[in-house]
Amino acid sequence: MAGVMIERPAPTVGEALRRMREQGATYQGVWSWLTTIDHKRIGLMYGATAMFFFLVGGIEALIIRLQLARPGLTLVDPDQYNRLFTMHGTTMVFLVVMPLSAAFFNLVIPLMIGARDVAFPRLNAFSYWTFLFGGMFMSASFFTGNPAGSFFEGNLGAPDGGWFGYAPLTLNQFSPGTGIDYWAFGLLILGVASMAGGFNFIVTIINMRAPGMTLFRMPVFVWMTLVTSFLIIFAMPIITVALFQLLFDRLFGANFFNVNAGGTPLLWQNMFWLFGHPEVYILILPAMGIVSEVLPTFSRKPLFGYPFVVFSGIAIAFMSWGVWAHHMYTTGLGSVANSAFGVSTLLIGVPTGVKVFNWLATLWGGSISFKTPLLFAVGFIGMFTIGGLTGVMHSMVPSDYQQQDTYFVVAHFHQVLVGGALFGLFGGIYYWFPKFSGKLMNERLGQLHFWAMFIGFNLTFQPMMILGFLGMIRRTSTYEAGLGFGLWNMMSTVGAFVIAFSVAVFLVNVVVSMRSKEKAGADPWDGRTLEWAIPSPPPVYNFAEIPQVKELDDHWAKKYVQNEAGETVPAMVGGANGHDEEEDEDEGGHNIHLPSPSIIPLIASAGMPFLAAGFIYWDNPWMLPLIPVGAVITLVGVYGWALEPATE
Amino acid sequence: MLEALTFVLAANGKAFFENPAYLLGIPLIAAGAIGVLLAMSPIELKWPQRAPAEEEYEIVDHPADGHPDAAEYIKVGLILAVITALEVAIYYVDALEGALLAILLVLSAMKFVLVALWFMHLRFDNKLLTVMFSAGMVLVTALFVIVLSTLGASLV
Amino acid sequence: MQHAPTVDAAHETNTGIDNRKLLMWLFLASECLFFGGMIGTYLLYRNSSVEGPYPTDRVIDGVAYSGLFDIPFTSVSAFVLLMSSVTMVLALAAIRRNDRRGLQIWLAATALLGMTFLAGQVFEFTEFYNEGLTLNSNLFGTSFFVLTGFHGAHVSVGVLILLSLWVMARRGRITSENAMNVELAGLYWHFVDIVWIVIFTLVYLLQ
Repeated sequence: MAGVMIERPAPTVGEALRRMREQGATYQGVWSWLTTIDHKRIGLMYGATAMFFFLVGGIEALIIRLQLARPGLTLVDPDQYNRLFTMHGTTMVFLVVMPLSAAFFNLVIPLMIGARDVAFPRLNAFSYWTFLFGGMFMSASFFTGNPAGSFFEGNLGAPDGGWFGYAPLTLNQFSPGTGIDYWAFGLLILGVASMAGGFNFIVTIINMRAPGMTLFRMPVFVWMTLVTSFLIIFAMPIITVALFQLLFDRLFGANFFNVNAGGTPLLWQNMFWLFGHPEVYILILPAMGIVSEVLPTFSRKPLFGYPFVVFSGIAIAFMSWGVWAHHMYTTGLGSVANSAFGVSTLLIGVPTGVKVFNWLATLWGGSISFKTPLLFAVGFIGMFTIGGLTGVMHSMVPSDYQQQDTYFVVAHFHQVLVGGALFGLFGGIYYWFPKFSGKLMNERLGQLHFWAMFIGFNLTFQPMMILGFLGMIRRTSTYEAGLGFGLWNMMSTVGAFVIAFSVAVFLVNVVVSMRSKEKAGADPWDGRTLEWAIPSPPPVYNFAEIPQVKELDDHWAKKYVQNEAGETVPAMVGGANGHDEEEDEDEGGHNIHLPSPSIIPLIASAGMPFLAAGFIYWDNPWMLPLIPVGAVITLVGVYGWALEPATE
Repeated sequence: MLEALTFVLAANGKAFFENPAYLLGIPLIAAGAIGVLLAMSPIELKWPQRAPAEEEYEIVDHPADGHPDAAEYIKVGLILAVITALEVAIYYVDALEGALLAILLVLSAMKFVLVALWFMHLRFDNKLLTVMFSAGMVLVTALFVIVLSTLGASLV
Repeated sequence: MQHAPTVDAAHETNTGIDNRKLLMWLFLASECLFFGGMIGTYLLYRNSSVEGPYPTDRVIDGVAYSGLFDIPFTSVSAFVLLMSSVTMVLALAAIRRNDRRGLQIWLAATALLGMTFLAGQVFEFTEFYNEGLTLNSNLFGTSFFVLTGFHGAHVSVGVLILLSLWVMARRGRITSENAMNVELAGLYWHFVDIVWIVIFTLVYLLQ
């Protein structure tokens, strides 16, 4: 048919989609980020998003501290104060510490176990997008959650029931408006994200380890990820049930927490803390894992008592299921229940103490180099120990009766979550930054960051301990002059701004370090685990050749041997960096079979906010159609997922 | 068919969720809608190719993987049916009133275990799967027994 | 339902368990906690309703209430769901022998039994509604409708999966090599069934 002009038909949707997938595979541009299923990129997106929410939650904290700086201030009114501390708590727990941990899971786990990716790369992308949409959805309540009107009419929205959301105080009667609905649906969506991540990492760690990497050759961080993931998949369903019950009460007039109909508020408290206490360990265990990686590297010694650290992590996870009612001593459970939970809470201090002593023994006699990651790790040990010990104080029932709802509790859990989890996570950022950017972080700015944060942290939260003993009540928007609270509150506020300064230093450090010309090299810290065996930043396929693991700290063992005198010496000519990491770079990369990028995970997670909004406003006929819209988007995502081949 | 039923049930215009018909109707209607949309859209979702009708395939008589065969499954199914009948019968026997709780719990645990071991192949699979599933079961039972007892609720 | 999206298909898993199967079992373990929470709530509120209608016959302050539960009817629908588990496992047994015709028949039978169960639930909900039981009438209504409603939603999802598999089977896309698809759907389906075994005993039969 030569000579006949055949008009090219417009590309069908399917063809257009295929072209976009090809574009996604080229690893650049916005589209490649939207469709990426590479665990390293997903980890970076997790980290960046969590940092953004960290700033949001931090600004909320600063407003709270300004309001409390002096007695009788009226920067915000009590209603706005409730909304701010609720969102501060929720944001920091669910949108900062959990996703930052998830960022490290994503970035490091496949590298540490010698895998090319996680077990389910698309599910991994789905986790991230669901987390992002959930966080955005919850934050949207700032604009519309106030019953008096929208944000643009001067009414600050957002939920006002505390991060624990005690029903029936969160029912319509006591918390009108849609703030709590956004909060509950937001947490449900975030729960889906965390659970998808949890499943994925359990399967990855159980099934995808490099040959020779037995369970007891895994780095401690991998162990802690495994344990945390189990906590996530078992704890999240419980809060899911409680949130559904709350939503049914609020949206459809069900009676779960309606005391007039016979419902009991203790149902919510039990369900929330059944989830809430394992959640505390979900926040802290990853940081413990990071610290257990940083300490050996910077003291150039193996982790002291590796099996003890691992087993105490597992023991903590088990015991975390048996201590929830220590949040409820004053609800009248009876002395038998209180005593039992008091004892179990005291016991959980034991494995935690085992870990602390093992960390100290790791440092003992090591050739320590006080780089920023180690500073944060050591800061973690000190601050977390104080946090843990104040926790032991709470476990004693009579003592807790006095401390209930005072600032002593606030001081305790910030000591654990900021001095513990956040210090550990920052240490992790400094530690692994060179691996994923190829640049070391600036050491001077890092030291400044640490010391400013350390001083600011202690200035902020130690006065709160004293305030608690003086009897200052938490969740109250102001206090009267003449109670002796003023000085300590002012100190605390100043401290909060010092922390803010340290975070600014950190952000400057990130920018400065990214622009630096200096290359970090594959193994800048002389590390012990597999991720340091490959180039920085790692190629898409991670390992050109899947490593064979022969022992714990395998990378270290390949670099160093012991001579006859028992001294550790480099294993081969060329020293510690003599490993052939650069040679791998060009070889093999194109023959490795990697899964194709896909937009489907994003679509599959995009339906959930629509569904949630539709249910929140279901009595508005213009909003009700959002439910079928959301359902259709979700189903398109699910069927697209099932029908799209994983690789092309 | 069920979708139509939902519409009929919902027809008297009660508020959402006051009428339970919606509860089941929504997923079904959504499923119908997606089917129609997919059928009409130009999206090529790589639908599986229809196999040639006369394609030959071999039926393997005894796949060598240690799974039980259909006859054994049917036997288990019969046992399950008998247990269910027993449960309902016991429910109506007044003389057993006192022991009802214990008997019912034992019988339903038997059904549970039979389905999990045979139909879900836990008996023939890696023990790790059994461990994980039992972990969930044991955990939730323990937790809620404690919650219910501290809240003063009891089964009997 | 394409093949496992593992990075390296040739790479054997450490435990020898298929990744997707492990994922499914983890999901089911986690679902135990979900349904446990729902059932726990129902049990907590079992005798807490301050006004009728009640699940079973009872006399309160001299007023006789007739119970809503229709045990023979629910027994039948529980039996239907139990039998759907048998047909499901027969579907798997069929495709393991590469018997594609058998697979289609048993998948269709399972989906039909599932839909019958759902239809029974719609009928039951409607009956209760007509007797005056709603989501907001009392604690019984609240905890009953939410528990069984979520179970029904799980069954609906299961039916959708089964129908999708059936369409694939009709097109000859399922063979003994990718029987894992059928096995995974089966695990989910059996789980939904054993949840109903628990609900039927603890909710309907216990008085």
